[in-house]
Amino acid sequence: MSPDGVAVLGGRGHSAAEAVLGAVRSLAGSVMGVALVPALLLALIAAPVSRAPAATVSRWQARRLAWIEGVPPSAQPSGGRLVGLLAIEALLGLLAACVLALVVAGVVVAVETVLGAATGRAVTIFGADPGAVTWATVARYALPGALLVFLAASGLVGIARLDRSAWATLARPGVGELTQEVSRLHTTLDDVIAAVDAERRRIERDIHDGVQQRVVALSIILARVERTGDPAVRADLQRRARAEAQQILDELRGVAWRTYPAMLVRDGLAAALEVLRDRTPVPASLRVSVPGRTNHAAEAAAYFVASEAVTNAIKHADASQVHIDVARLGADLVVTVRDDGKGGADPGGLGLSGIASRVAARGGRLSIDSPRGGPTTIKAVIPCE
Amino acid sequence: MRIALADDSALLREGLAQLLTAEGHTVTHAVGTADELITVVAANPPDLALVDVRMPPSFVDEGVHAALRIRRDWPDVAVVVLSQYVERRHASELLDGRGGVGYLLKDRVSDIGGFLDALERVRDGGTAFDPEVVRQLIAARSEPDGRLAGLTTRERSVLELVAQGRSNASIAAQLYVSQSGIEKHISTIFGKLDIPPGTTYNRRVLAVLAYLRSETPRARGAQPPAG
Repeated sequence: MSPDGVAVLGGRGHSAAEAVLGAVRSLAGSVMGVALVPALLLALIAAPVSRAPAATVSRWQARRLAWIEGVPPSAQPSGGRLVGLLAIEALLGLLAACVLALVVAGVVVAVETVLGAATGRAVTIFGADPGAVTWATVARYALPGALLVFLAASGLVGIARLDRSAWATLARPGVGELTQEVSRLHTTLDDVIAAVDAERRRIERDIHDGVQQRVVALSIILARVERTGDPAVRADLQRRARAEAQQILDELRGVAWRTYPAMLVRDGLAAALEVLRDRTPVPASLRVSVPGRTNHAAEAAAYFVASEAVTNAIKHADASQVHIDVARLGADLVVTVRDDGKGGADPGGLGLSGIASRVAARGGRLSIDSPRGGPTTIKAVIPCE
Repeated sequence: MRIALADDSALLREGLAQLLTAEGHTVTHAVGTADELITVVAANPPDLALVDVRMPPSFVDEGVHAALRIRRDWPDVAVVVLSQYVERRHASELLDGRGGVGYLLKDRVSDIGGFLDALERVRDGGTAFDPEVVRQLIAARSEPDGRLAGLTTRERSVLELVAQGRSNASIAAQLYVSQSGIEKHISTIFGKLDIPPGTTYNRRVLAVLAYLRSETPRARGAQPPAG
């Protein structure tokens, strides 16, 4: 029995008023449960075709339980257990309907009897002649009536408890689902490690192919300065050495920036993306509608998606223009990068698979639409929570 | 001499070509990939091919493969491999018991005298191995109870310089010792390491390198080093 299965009737209350309120809520909840029975049955009939109605009705049920209890129930059930749960709820609903019907019948009989005793008229419900029902009759049936009321109330409370514990039991993910989730997490973890390695390789290549070669070239020029006897040649080499040193500095700045834009942490996503746009060698438009700051990791993921997509567009697709759009939609950051290049982007390529795992690690989704001949649209949905 | 060079960095190709031309050599071709290098060597064999290790498409060790192929198919063409990093494995792959091969760290190019000297040596059938590679080879061979442990500090410095492919004269100049002193050191070292004294200077260097390259006796069972 889970802790969710607490008594419903005044379960949360300490004072009498709260107990009464709880009882009324519980009764109203039972009535709502009965009202949901047709919807439950329809959802069950539709289940083999579509799970959508079942999911909707289950959300209603969750809201009903939350209203009665004042606390939302645990996770939503899914898969086969959702149908099972709805079937149980339907049965419990029908049971509650029967109990409520008995309560209504009892109340009608009691009222008729009391009225008959008070006025002395005929009681049509059990065909009693005028004057046949007296206060003595009322007194005779008062105790059994009270007992029946108690039993009906107990029945409703019991049904509510069953309702609650069925939900608690079936909403828990099953072994199969947990196994699936664990293997998904494992895959994501492997992908993340692969992505980190890929980024490191990229940084090493950046340094090796750019900065290191330039430094070697510079040291050759400087060595030639020492060896030459011709002042004109020496002056020319020195000029070239200075220019080369300047180039090296630019290159280093670029490598450092590509490794991790420091302003991403300091000034946030919009500022970093503006710099990315300004550094892009082709015309690039940027639209950011993200109110305030979001979670750092989500911002970093969004930035690297944009950065990688722009790099790809220029390096591999020969794009002549790029559009970057970042928006906050509900709990998600949505990054869309479009280019007019020649398409055919390879999702398995180092860069794209890297950002795909980065996005997957945050539980997001990356979609790449890049037909041969272009245009390419790369869209990432990154949860911020 | 006539030199064909291959490096994927246009900047460095340009720098090397200018340097070699300024020093009186002829650069027959300057190309950016290993395949192009093979093509130009086949069409017009140079005296020496100068190859960068990392080139397209995979940027791993295309240059080493190209160098090995040139050595196999055009044995008269000397080969010097240039690398940004030093890898013992590459040095070992290039050592096939023949001279006319070198493996240098790119940074050494700025020691123009030493670099040109190494190219000449390799062109003449000698070897030129970067001090850093030699150090790694020696470190890999060094065991507390191994033969290298029996060398004095001075003998170790001499061995390092021999392994780099230096001549006795240049070793003597470097260590401020007379040439005859160096010759004595070398015969002592060969005795301690069980290396048969080579008849020619080149065989001697190759024997040292072969000794350094061979796996440790403990790992493979003692065996006389090839030479």
